[in-house]
Amino acid sequence: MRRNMCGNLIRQEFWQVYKVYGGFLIIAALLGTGCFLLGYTGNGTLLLVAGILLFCCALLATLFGTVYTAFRYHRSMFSREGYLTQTLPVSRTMLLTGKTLAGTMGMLLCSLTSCLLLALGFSLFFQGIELLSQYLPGTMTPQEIEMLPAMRGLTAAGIRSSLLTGVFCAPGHVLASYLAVTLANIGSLSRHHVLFSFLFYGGYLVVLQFMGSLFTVLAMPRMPDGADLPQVFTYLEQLQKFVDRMTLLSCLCSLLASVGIFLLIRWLLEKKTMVR
Amino acid sequence: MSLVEVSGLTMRYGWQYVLENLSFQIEPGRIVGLLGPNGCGKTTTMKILAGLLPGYGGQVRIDGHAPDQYTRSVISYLPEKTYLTDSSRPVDALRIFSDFYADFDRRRAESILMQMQIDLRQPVRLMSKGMQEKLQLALVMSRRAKLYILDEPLGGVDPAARRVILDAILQNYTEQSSILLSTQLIQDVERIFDDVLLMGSGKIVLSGHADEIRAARGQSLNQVFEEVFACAETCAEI
Repeated sequence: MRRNMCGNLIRQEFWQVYKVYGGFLIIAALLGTGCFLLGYTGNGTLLLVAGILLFCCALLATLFGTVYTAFRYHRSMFSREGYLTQTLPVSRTMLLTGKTLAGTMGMLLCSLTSCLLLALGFSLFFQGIELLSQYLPGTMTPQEIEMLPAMRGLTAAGIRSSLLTGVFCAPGHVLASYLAVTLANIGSLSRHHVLFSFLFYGGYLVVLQFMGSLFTVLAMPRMPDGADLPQVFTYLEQLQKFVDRMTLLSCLCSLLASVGIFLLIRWLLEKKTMVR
Repeated sequence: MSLVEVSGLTMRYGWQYVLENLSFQIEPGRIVGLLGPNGCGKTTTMKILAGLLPGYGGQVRIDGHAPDQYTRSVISYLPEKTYLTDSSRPVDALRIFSDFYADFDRRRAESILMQMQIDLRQPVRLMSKGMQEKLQLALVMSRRAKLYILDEPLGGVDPAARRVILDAILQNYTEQSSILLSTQLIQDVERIFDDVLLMGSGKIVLSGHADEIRAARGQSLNQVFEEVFACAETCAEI
């Protein structure tokens, strides 16, 4: 009987993590529902606070996804569970593929939840602003009130961009955290693997930031110029399209980089790392 | 052809050598005792054979292959530590082994667990050390592997449990397979050994057929062990 080893690896990982992700989803759902119900109170201040709370929760959801994915990878590969995982009759390529797919699914779940919380947060935030401007004259100028629909549109574009990034860059983020953990389990570094994992991941973020800044500088000549587009709404529309193009390009770069990182991790697993 | 051929095996952690030019062979159908004091390299040797430690020097062949996906499919490895998570249950472990190992006999495993009076639904965290050892042993010995590598299967368990574990090993391994077993409780186990490898400081100090060593020295393996390593300590002090 031919065994679907990749499916078995994903299934095994699912049984280990379903309770944690289930709890995460329940908490997110309760939070989202609670804040959504605040929308019926008609209190602008409460809506603003709820919106900001949801922004923070969206950030925490992404952070949770990254940290827990890395934690599970370390636990299953380099702690005592590793004695089982790394002696399974599968190639390192298959093992890493299974782990990456499982980790990506978890990361996608967290990213989608984060985007939903973000969308809900912004919705409540803008509702709060509109209510405050209605009942507290002077909160916003007439021009600012006129800009609100455009700001909503730009925010929606930002959330769309976050969603695209969350989906297409998920494998890259997962593999980057796996690489940090793998590097931290080479030789004597494994004695302080938590510290070195954070250091290596921090290094990756620095490199990412540098690449992003370089990317932006190179793309600046193609950015819409406000001077050429005196109509604000037209400018914002063009800016949205520019952001969408840049997002797709960065997702493509992330996917390509993922291939290189995958091959590096596989080599490290075959030659360098050990279960202590 | 020998089932296991190790030649010039060397391994170091940092600058410290834990294995130095280790060479031995294991023939099919033999029960081999890997004996030695703490820190002599028994676990490291077993982990290399099991495919857990890359970066070694020398040559290792199991059924003609270097440690790889194939050797992992023909080796059944019992590590010193429990590799099951605290929240997992025997029924979960049975599912994992059934999913991944074509040679795993689930019915035999369930039968062994029943004999050992292990509840299939009890989480590992609620089991004693002895029960965890028995559970892992039942899983490992329920595979029709070519080589069983058992690292300290009797460590930390009471004498009654040791007898149960030893019996489980003898009753469930097939004569075409080989067993490499490390232990410090030599007097409890030496009766089952066909061959012996005595290690000290990362090297083979003494090796051969267990009966021949006992006959030549007129001592039990336990006494040979004490003599060899008492002598080694004295020489080190001098």
